[in-house]
Amino acid sequence: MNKLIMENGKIISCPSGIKIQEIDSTLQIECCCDFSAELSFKKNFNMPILFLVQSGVKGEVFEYYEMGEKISYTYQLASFSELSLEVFSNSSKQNVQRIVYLKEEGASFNCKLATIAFKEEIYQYFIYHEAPFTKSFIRNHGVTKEEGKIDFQVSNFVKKGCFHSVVDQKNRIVNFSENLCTIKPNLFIDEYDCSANHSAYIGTFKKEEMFYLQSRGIEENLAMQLLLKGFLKEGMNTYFTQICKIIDTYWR
Amino acid sequence: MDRLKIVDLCVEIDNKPILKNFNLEIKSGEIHVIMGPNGTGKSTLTKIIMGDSNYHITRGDIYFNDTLLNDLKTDERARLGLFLGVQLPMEIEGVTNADFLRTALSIREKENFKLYPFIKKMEQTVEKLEMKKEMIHRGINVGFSGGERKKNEVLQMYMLEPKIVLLDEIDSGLDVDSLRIVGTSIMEYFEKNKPAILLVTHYQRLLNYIKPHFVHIMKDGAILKSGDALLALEVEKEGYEKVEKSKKTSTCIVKDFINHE
Repeated sequence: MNKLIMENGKIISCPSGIKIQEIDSTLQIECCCDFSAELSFKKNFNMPILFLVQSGVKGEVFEYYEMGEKISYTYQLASFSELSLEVFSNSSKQNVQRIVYLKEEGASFNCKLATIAFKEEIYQYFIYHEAPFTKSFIRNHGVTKEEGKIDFQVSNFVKKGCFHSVVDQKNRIVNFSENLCTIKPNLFIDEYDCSANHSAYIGTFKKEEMFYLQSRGIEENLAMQLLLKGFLKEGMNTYFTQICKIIDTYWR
Repeated sequence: MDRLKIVDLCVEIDNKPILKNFNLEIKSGEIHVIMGPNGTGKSTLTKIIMGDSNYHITRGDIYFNDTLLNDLKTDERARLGLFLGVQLPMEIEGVTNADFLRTALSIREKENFKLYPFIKKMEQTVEKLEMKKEMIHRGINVGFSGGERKKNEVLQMYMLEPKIVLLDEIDSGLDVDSLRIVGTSIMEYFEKNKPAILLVTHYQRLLNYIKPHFVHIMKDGAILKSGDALLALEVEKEGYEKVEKSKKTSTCIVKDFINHE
């Protein structure tokens, strides 16, 4: 598969089916062929990024953050295009906004995010279903530690006439800090013939889960590590090593 | 010879007494069955033995051999060799069965833990229990049917090789085939390893496969009556109330299980 690699906004490799240019202080990435992209941010990068995904194109994007205080993404998906994101954040502070336009029939956007927050982190999504048969799946799993605070704001908009659209958002925060975390799931739906689900949870792991693991001889801290790794890794295909390393360091 | 001994145990939850001067002794090579009406404290008993912190011991002691368990944590009790097969095994997303068991075994066996024999044994046991192979790589009990969850409990028992096995309604929700597989597997484990088994059940049907040495009838947090396997048959035929009132011992040979050799 064609692979795009970018570090802190700098292009390391770019396949021919992807055109990247800077227009009006925005980094525009036009995807004309199926692709895989690795974006990593180890320094602050503030330029907005616009993904234009052409008809029928399937793309997967892997994002890794060690830094990146404020980043804004816009996605425009044409007919029957599919974009899947896997995001892992290990930054000290984070504010990410994603605006998704599912502009034509059959466009699909899928985002799985795992984060361990040591400071304040805000993740905002605005997902506009503008055509029938469009789909969006958002899964945010976050864990706070020390001064960590997480705010998930996910807003879906389904216009009238966007029948057979699917909206699904799951947001969970396991809070180990004393700060207040928030989840704001908003579903603005003006079409009867669509499917919409959301779930939100802020808390800790269930006592019964810990008891079950400990009843097999697993010590409390290891049981917690297992649950945390499972929680953050669930549904993800990448970043296992990074997730495990942080958990093994901070939940000893 | 290992021994679990419960002496004058009184337990409360939210100031409500659950167990009242409960006494029981189980030794290696013995199978004890506890039966009784709903809400008499049978499941609670198994959780208390395993150290569930929701319950508060107000009096009495639980010993594993010479070790007092009262103040030991759940994981410490498990590492001594206690195992609880729960009535409603819970789903834990993201933690696979394989990871979970490997972690549990590697803690217990430390540097003696070997990955290849672990995988081999797990595959053999999965086959024996007629489970699907892919289940070991799925989240703990995620998407499992009621029967598959119970088999998963038995799989864990085989892998961890406990000395004291507590099984809480391991037969509930099982179809006839699964009941046979689970029942015969537990009995095979017993015959091979000779652990002490404490089995909580409502139905005699499980005892077609698992042959108990003692059957106890529990009511209001204490043992009312003890006997051999025939007592379970009598309960099935007559119901708890009649058995409780019955003085006859012709079909129910009441034994002093504490003094049993």
